[in-house]
Amino acid sequence: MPSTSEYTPVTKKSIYSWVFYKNTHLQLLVVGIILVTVALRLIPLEMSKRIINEAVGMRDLHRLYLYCGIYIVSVVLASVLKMVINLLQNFIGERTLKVLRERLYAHALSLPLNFYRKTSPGQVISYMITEMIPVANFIGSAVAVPAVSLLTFLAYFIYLFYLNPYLSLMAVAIYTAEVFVIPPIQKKFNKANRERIDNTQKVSGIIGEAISGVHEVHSNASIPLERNRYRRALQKLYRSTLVMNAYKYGIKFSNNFFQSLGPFSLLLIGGYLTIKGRFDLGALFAFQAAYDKLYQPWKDLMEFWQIYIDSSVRYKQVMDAFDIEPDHELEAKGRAPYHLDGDISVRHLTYAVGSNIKLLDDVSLEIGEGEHVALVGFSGSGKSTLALCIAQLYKYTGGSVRIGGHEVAELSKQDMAHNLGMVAQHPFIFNGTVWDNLMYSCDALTLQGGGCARNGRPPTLDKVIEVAQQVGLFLDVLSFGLRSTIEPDEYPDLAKAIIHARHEFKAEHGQDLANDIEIYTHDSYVYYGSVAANIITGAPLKDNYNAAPLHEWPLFKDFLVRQELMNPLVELGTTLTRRVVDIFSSIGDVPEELYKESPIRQEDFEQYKSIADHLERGLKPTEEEVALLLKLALNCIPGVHKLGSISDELARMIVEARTPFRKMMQERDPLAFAFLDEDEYMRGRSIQDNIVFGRVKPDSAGAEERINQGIMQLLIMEGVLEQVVEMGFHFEVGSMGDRLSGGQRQKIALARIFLKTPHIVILDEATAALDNASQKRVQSVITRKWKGINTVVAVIHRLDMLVHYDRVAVLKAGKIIEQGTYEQLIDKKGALYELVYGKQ
Amino acid sequence: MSSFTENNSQLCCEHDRIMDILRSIPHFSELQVDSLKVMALVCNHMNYQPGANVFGAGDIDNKAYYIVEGTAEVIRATDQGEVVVGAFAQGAFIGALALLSDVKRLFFLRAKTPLKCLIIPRKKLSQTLGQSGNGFQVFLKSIAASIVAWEEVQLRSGTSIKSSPGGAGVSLL
Ligand SMILES: Nc1ncnc2c1ncn2[C@@H]1O[C@H](COP(=O)(O)OP(=O)(O)O)[C@@H](O)[C@H]1O
Ligand SMILES: [Mg+2]
Repeated sequence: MPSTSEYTPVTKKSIYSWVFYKNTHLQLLVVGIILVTVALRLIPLEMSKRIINEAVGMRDLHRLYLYCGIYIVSVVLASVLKMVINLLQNFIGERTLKVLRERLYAHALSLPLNFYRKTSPGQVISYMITEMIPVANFIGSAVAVPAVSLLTFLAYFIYLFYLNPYLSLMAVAIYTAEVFVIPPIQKKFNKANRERIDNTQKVSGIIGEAISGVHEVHSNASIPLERNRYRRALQKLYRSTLVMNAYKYGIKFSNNFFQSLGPFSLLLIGGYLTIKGRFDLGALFAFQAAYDKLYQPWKDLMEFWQIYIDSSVRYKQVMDAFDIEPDHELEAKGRAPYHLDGDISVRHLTYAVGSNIKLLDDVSLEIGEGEHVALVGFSGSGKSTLALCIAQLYKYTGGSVRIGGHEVAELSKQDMAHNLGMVAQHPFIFNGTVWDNLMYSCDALTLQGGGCARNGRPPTLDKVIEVAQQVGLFLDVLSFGLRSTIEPDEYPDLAKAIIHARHEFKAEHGQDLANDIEIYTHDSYVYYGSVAANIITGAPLKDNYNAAPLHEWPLFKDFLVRQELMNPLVELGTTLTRRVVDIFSSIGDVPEELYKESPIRQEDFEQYKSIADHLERGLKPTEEEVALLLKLALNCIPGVHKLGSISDELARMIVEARTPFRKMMQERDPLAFAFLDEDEYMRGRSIQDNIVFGRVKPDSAGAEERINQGIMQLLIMEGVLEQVVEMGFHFEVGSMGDRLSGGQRQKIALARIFLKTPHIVILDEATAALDNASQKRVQSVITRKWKGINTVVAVIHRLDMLVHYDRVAVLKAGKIIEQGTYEQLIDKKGALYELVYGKQ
Repeated sequence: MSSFTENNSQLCCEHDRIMDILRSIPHFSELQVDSLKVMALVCNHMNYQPGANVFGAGDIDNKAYYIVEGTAEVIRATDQGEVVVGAFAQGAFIGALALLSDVKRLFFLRAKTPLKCLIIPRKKLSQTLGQSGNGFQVFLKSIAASIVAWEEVQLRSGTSIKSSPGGAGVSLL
């Protein structure tokens, strides 16, 4: 949020303004340090002159030590100061980058929705992240680099002049000559380079085309034809590459030439002058050294110029892209946010986009406080647009919308947040927990100086649970909670209650839910568990067993060999590898979604691909590869991974290996594993698995709901329901809520608004993704809780809900074509009648 | 009870079984085997107990169904109660339109006997097939073709055109 001193929008600021923005004193400091540094840089030159002339020339050891001492101190000091300059420069750049990104982000978020119809998220990300980096680089170095370079150049030049004016002018002349010679060659090089790139593309194109159409090539036996085509293109590429490289070496040569031309003329003329006694040896030496050093600042300055050009272009591009004003004020300035009455008056409302396409055309609608009004019409008729105009998300282009007598266009976003809430047609769920998402509106309101509960505190768990029940989210949250795993040592009481519930569950539901569950028993194979889990039938208690992967554990491998399981498992791993690689290689970019169906994880795929490749070529797998194949087999869950299958024979052998494994472990390390036991908590498994003592079959329709219903009753009796539900609220929904179903996302959006209970509620097909029963329940809550108190404007897609509304407005092509009570409109046999009963 | 105990050949797995089914569905006959293999990965079997709904009237659906075992009834809810308007048996492929876009179901599809379906989900399908060349295009084409083919059969068998939506053929939609 901009503070008073920062009223210029970020997009209107020039790139230069950032150089001194809150950085003035730092930049001055930088200049100060630079002056000292440059002065320090001259000292070594002078010292070397004196060492040769006064110390070496006079054979004065004392002076030699003194001058060398000064020399080294000044060199070290200059380097230290140079580092300080670099650090400061970096600090200024990065700090400004942070401010820039922050302000740009806030500005970007405040831009109207329409802006984002044309600008993709990727674009905004690249503007804010990559494009800003060179800009920050420039801002950091805007003072330091030119100052250092110019001053250094100048200082050396003055020093040269002081040593010998003629020689110094000659030195500058050489640099000037360089400026005239090199750029033309550079230009030619660039042209040749472009040609080469073109030719490379042509060659690539020919290869790509021929490979794609290789069947055509074969059927025409046209290999010679294709070869000729290819050869011609290759020939061009070959020539252009040669030419380009010739220019490249030309530039190198000129650079070197001028580099050595300097010292050469210096030695010639300087040597001549020295022999003639008009110049001393020390000065010649110092001159030579200073001349060399002129090059660096010169080069730095050239590079800086490039950075400047590049970053100012980028800066302008980014700022131009964002140079739009937000449609509405963000904050109520100089007053508390309004408390608006709930009546809405829409008069002659028009919303036009593009070349005067009227999405809403002269719409008028009066809504009284506490009234519930439904908007209906075909899709595309403008219902959402009207809702968005009332909610201030679109800035209408004509007419007026007043809420509680205030024109919506003139209210601030803060006013709207305090009085109005909306469930969008496609609600957005953010990465985070279910709880975070439920609190989203409340948290935002709290930051704006409001709050959801009366005392300004966040809603209580009880309140949230109540709302979850109202929107039908409760069972979903419960099932999230049941899917979580707990450490029994951390929650001893809960673990105990769960084991108790397990016995109850078996007694009560063991019979009727038998088809829905795969029960864990000691003598049958569990198809919804991994092969490894089927052998071990337990969870490691000690960390060292947790950390060591089974397939690398010698004891376990020996065990498999003894049980004659090693070969069949490696074979299983081989089959899996072959099949997965076969399928995944046929698609270019394997979507993440598919990896869920495969026992091979995404990061391991390349490894297994190369194994499959070796196997394909008939190579014997190496020891390492065998270990990986075994790993794959151990992780295979036939009930989940469709490509894996365990033959009955293998399943029997695995089941038979359980007892020996237990025996072996109990002899070696009795406390290493917690084995399957009906009276013990199963570690590493979900609460649900623990209660049903097995796995709910995912291929049994409705199994999860039936079981969770049963479990819920038991949890209530155990008194731990609330605790499990609370865990469910901490379920991570994934990026954009992709671990939730469409219905769950919509329920969360509804729950958000129920928690906030704003004075005015806008619902845009807010129950469209829910099943029939949930829709009815939510609608009845809306009617019961809010009728007569909170104003509701709802876009309704299910016409049987209309009876709950005081009034119905029918939209068609951006106009309200009829409005009135449901009965009135039905009796009228007009547009609504047609919508409900169809054309007669 | 699990379907995995039927294994006899070592090579056979769930994926092969699904592949066999998909290849038997005419809608997918033009798809390349590679695409089918990917598709088989995202399809799932589901078991329904008698009386359970596969989908309900009013549901917004995005999946198609193939009946592997059992029979299912098509039911229309009217003001007078539920009316059975049809039935599907093993081998029926139902609801392909939902693979083009979300479709509002107008009927209940309910298991009459223990029912096993193969579920073909659009979302995952478009995510995976969309990436592999023109797999999805072929698939769209075949669905359009199957609608036309369906009506052709109806016309040849003499079904009255008057009962079609809008008073004309469904292929004219
Ligand atoms: N900002 C906009 N710019 C251009 N067209 C828009 C904009 N907003 C909506 N539309 C178009 O306006 C029409 C009405 O949209 P909408 O109000 O969402 O319809 P409804 O909610 O009744 O289905 C649609 O064709 C939609 O694509
Ligand atoms: Mg809409």
